[in-house]
Amino acid sequence: MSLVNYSTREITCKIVYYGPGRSGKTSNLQYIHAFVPEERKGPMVSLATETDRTLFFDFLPLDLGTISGFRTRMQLYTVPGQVYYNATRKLVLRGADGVVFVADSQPEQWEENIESLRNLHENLLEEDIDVKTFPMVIQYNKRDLPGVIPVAELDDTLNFRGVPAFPAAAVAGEGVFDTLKAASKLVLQSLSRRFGQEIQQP
Amino acid sequence: MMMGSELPHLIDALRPPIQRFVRESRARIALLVSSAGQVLAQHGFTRSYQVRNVASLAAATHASSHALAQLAGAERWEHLYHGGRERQLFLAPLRTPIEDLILVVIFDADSSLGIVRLFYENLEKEVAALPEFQQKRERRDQESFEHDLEAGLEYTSPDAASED
Amino acid sequence: MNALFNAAVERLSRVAGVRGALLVESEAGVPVVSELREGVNETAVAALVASLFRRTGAASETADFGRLNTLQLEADEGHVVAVDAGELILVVVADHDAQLGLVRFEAHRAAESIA
Repeated sequence: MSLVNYSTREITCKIVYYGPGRSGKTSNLQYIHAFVPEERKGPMVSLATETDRTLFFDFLPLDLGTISGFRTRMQLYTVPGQVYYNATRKLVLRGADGVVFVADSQPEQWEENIESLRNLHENLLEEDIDVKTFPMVIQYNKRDLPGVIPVAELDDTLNFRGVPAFPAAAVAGEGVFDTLKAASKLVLQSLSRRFGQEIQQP
Repeated sequence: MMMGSELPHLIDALRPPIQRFVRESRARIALLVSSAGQVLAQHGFTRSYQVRNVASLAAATHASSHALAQLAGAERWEHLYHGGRERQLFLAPLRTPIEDLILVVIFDADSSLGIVRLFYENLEKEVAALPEFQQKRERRDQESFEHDLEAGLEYTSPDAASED
Repeated sequence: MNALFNAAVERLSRVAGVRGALLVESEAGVPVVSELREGVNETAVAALVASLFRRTGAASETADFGRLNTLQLEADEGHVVAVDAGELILVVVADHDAQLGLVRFEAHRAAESIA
């Protein structure tokens, strides 16, 4: 849940990158961290296994500057994607203001995408979050690989809510910032509705 | 992390030391996992989903404690202890020549922190001396990561492998 | 407080035949202060004696003998004397040929000074 401090005029929001194992969640954050200017980001924390699988989370704090007089901060998290780590995944999802669902466009990950999306809904429901209105953006990652499933087909299966969706190749950075901008916008809009104030994107 | 093919052998080797540890320390629950949360030995759980949840949380706790240690300027922590009213938790690294494992112990008034620590030290020496932990192996590719995680559960689980 | 603990343990450890003395936190079984000669395993003594003391104390109270004040262990090659000191236990490890009467006396005196 966003932290809005009226006395210091600061807002802090949490966006979680969700998706099956190795779909590119960490790659998104790594690219963002590499290309956001120094003064707009904090250090990135990655709690991973020896083989670079996210074990608990990656964390990246960003400063979006002042929006409608409020200093706006975004905290980006990733979750471990493997089915096995659901207990820790639930912890990281707690208090999220929005989700970026990173789907793996490879055909061999078809089932994993569906299972991960189902798992996301299950975990959101457990937290009493309305899955129909919760701010969400989908990213179809790994577009640069050969033989990937067409975006339209992925969209058909995964995007039944009709949320903003972006093709991407996160390692090279394609689609990464588009995805982030869309997610931030949705989160801030949702926030402004909740607090009855007009918070516009710059 | 241990590859699926070696697991049954390794798990068999770990069973006697863990059983001895539980007997001597009078702990209620003991769990030995790899740093990725793969289950290598367990005692006292009644359902397999419980094992998996504790395993992944323990690995996550260990990873964040380690990160904290580095921020705090400590090289590493010796152990983590949580004192509850009825039950207590002890979480510590088990260092072997080839990799660090994580031991999780849940105990109550039948035992004590001192006792658990004492027998944990013995257990660490015993496991570190096992032939299975002397030789570093070739890491297989990352394809079978999830499969290897689940395999640990399969071989140590009190009931059928993965059920939620 | 610490000075008091240190003084008690130190004086005890200087009694003839005493291999070491320690103050143990009884619930966790961990040492608080210790003066031990080489060869005495601090962690083990603290944990095991505290555990014994607790169990024996429970037996004592169950038998309606009241609170346990002294536990004495005689083995082939040495003695352990553990005395109740409130939330702490004062433990003395002594050689087989130590003056046991003196050890007990000093241990009780030390425990009183702390409790």
